[in-house]
Amino acid sequence: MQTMKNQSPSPFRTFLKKFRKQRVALWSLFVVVGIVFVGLFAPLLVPYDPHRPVADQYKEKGMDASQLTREQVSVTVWMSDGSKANDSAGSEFTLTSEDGQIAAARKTDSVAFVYASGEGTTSILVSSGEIVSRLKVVVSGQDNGLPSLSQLVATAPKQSLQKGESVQTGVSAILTDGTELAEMTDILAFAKQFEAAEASAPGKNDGFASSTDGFTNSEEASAESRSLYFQSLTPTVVEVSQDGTITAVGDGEGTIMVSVDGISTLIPVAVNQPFNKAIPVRIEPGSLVMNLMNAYKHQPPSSLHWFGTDHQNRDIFSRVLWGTRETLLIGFVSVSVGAVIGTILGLIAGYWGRWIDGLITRCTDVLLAFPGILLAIAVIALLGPGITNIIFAVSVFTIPIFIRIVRGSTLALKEMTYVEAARSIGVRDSVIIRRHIFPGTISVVMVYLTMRIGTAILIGASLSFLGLGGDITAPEWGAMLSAAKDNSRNLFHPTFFPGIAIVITVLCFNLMGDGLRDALDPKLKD
Amino acid sequence: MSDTLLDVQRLQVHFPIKKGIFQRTQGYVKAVDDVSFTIAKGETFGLVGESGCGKSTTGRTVMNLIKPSGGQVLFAGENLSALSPKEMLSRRVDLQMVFQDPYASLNPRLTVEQILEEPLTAHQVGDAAERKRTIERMMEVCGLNPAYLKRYAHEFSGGQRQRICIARALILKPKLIVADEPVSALDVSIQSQILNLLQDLQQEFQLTYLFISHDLAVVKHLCSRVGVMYLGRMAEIGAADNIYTNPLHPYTKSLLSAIPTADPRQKKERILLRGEVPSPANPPKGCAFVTRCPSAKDICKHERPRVSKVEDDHLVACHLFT
Amino acid sequence: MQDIMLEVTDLTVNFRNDDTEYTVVNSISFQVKKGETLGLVGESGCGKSVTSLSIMRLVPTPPGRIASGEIRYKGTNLLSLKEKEMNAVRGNEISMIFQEPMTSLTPVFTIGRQLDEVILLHTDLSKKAAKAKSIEMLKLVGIPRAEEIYSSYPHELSGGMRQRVMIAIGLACEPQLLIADEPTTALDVTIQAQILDLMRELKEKTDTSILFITHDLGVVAEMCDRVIVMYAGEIVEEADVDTLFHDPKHPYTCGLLESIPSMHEKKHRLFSIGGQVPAAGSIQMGCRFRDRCSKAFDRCEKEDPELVPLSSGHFCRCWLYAEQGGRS
Repeated sequence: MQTMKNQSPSPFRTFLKKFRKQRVALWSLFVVVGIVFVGLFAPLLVPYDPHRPVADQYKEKGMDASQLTREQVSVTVWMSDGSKANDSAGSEFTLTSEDGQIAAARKTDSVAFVYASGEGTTSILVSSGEIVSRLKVVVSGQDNGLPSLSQLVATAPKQSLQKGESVQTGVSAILTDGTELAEMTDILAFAKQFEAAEASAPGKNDGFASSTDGFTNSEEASAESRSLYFQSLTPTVVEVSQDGTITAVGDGEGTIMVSVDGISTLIPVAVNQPFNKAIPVRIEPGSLVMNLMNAYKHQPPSSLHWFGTDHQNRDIFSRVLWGTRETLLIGFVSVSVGAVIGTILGLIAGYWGRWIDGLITRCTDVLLAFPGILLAIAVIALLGPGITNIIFAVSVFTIPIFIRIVRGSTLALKEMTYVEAARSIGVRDSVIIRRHIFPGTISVVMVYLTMRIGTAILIGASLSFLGLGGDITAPEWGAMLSAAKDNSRNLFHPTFFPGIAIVITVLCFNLMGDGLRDALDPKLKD
Repeated sequence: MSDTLLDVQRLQVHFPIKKGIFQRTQGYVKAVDDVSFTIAKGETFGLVGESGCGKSTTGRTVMNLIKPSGGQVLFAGENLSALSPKEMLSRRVDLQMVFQDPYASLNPRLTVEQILEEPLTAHQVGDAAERKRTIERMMEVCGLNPAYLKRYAHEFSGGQRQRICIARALILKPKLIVADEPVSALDVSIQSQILNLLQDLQQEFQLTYLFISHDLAVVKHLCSRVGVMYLGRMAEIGAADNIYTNPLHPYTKSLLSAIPTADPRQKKERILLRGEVPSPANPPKGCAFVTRCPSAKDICKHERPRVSKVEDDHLVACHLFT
Repeated sequence: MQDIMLEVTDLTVNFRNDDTEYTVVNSISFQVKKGETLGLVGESGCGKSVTSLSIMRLVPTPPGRIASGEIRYKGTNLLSLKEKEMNAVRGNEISMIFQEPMTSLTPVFTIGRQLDEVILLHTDLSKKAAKAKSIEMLKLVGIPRAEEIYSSYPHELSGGMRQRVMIAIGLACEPQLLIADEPTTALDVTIQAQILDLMRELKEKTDTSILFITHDLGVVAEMCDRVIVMYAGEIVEEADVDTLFHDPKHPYTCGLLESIPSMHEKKHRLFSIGGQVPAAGSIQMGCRFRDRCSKAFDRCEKEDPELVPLSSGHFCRCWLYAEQGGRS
């Protein structure tokens, strides 16, 4: 007798063995299982409610959202005698944003905040009287990388001057990156270089009023603002030349203002009399650079929101996870319904033939004459949008495909000798179909089922994309793409992540179907 | 012959040829055209002929798997084609079939047990335990190890599969077994095993065989009576001894001479037939064999020869003998 | 030696299934002489078809692999030829006729085109000359209305006609060696008789050597000069046709001959060899036939028998004749 192993390999086990050799399909299976898992447990997995803006949810999550979007501005005011001003003096300052579309500043009596309102880099001018300082604001991490002048420090004459006496002042500057430019020439060089950099920088500075050209100093000519500009606020007491030479002309206390590039400081001068009191000369912001997030729409991918947020500031990651549910529901339910009905009708048509075959085949031909998406749109048009109708629509055009393949393989199996043998034994038709024909069609049905799920998902997403999926704000991949297309012209993340989710899902189902076919094909040996 | 089990009377099986977009019937393939024979209880009747001669169709019509277009099949005096489908199902207990291809006639998705149980469940024979005993006994009878009960058909070799097929046919204790080329797909050494098995089973269960084969040597070995078919018609029918020692029909003669013998020393006269078998859709007007017959006469072209008795249990359809 | 067309030495072919490699043809050696018809008989799975495919270098690789051995055609080892050189040998020098005349012809081309193609591929004839040659070949293989058949499609022909066309294609380039792999198995007896007759006739005309592979001992008896009996990938007996049929030595050959139902004598029971051909890979040691052999003894289980000469041209692989072979 032929030697046989103890373990009898059932057809199913043989199939498993072959399928395990299909590397790609196996990986696809893992991914599909993962996707199904995600779909099932989406409510537990989503970090944020996908239906609401994330900003509303930060509080519920115990996160201080305001920290992200705004930052309190604290300042230190330095007096001319080198001391720090007291607190009350410190609060007397105003904030001006150079570009309100990127960041805005608001100040109440007690506190001052900078809010993110767009994305990009801009500056906030902190001013108190004639003194102006600058702090750089980077919103959503979009740093332009360029430092700008933050504060000016001028060396005032220590003693009071005699009438007619001239003193040379020294001016140094602090940049937003913290470096100090000690000489006036350095400051000039920086301003020049900065100007050149801005002139050569393409893009937004050309179109808009340059932020460093200044809103506040718009009355000054651009060329002037680029260089150090000395001005005596009390021309009766002191005069100042543009190279910084102060000349006392009359008795009393005078003030010189030094400004460059929108920021300024004061130099107190006393002529023929001692200094009465120190005046504030410099405002030092608590931080030279502020990093803010725009938390109200289109947050880019970050550790907080892996896929970023969309136009309504909803977490795209959560929405993609949540969308898996609807996508899989459409895929599985519609194709299963289609497969079950199609298989039954296909078996009937193939086995009994005659008029019933004619009828079913004609109907199939009619349905198959429509392109799938068109048929689905027609069904939606008749029944109205909504997920159940999408499922129905996708089922409708899945049925004829299954009828056709099952009928085909039934016709082939009907001619098999073992079916004839069963008939010759006296087995009833219903049993023959159940035992001998249906199991033979299972393999091809399984392959098509897997492949069709991919197509069904695609059709479902297309319908949603076309706005036929009912709730267009629902977290559904097609609807997400559709909304992102309208609202996020230059952003990649609102379209990319739902899109890639569709691609991966459909691809995995198709690869799995390919693998199944190869494993089930008796002609492909190992 | 008093104990006639099967009486095939003027059997005709015509398949319509459909053509064109409207599937109009354009003619008929006369697969079986006026074939009559009887099989007595306990005998083995051999039906020989080349492929396409209608011998398999005859076998399937006897099994009532194909409805005859004319004539009738009387099984134990009952006209099978007149029975209702339900009545026919119950008659199938007595009529079983063994097919040519042991690979195709077993469902690869079922185990031996499931295959052998199918006839029993279909006819509601016994309870589960009884069925299992019957199956095991039948496997032993057919030379299969009952330990292989749970194995799938595809694990067996051709010979063993054919044993399973025979066991399946036998399990309902039928009266007649239609064996359609049961050994032609098997190797010589296996073929002899199966032929011996068939002979043993016939003795044990008093079976009657309708043995369909193209192999004249096998038919000679196994059968007591033989019918030679050509193009849907019976050319010659009679006791095996008569046919093999004294073939009358020119077709039978050439068929017998065409068989290669496993003996290089025996050089024999060979009647080589020219040409091919005509299409059964368009058979010659007179004798079916007229296009290839070495001794065709004028009458053969116009008139169909009737089956006439030449000697005791030896009938021939040829104008040479009328 | 001039008159040896084909010499196969120690040919071993392995097939891989999953991770195990099975020896399907185990170290076989034989020769085909000029003008000779050598029969290769055995049951399905004995390796006879693989042997013929190896000669044509058509063994599907993988899973198949010619593990060792030499196939010398007129002295050149075919296994060491480049694929291009081998293509020149195929069809031109050696051609093959397959079992299935239904599937060996391309259904979408006419008979003539398929025949022309072979002729054009292997000769320098012009298209017109090729057509003339094709029609001549069709006539040679006894096809009536050759011109008409030339422009018809394979499905319009019957099985016998197709096999004739296959033979015509096989012989189109006047090969020196024709390998016929079960050329008549799919055909009816009367058609088989015609084809065998045709092959015999053509062989006499062209003096082609034929390697005739079949499982039908009757066909072998009629066609061949010398016969090799294969069992489970090995040659078990080799003899001229007369010796083999009248004085077979190996128990397998004897059993095979006895199990054929005879046309001339009526036996009540046929002799039958019990059991099945061992599955490839299940053979370990000893004689491969021992489980089915009625004369098996201890030694058959322990040692592999050698193919020993019994008389001139008669070889047998059996321990029963080992002594005798050793003496002679």
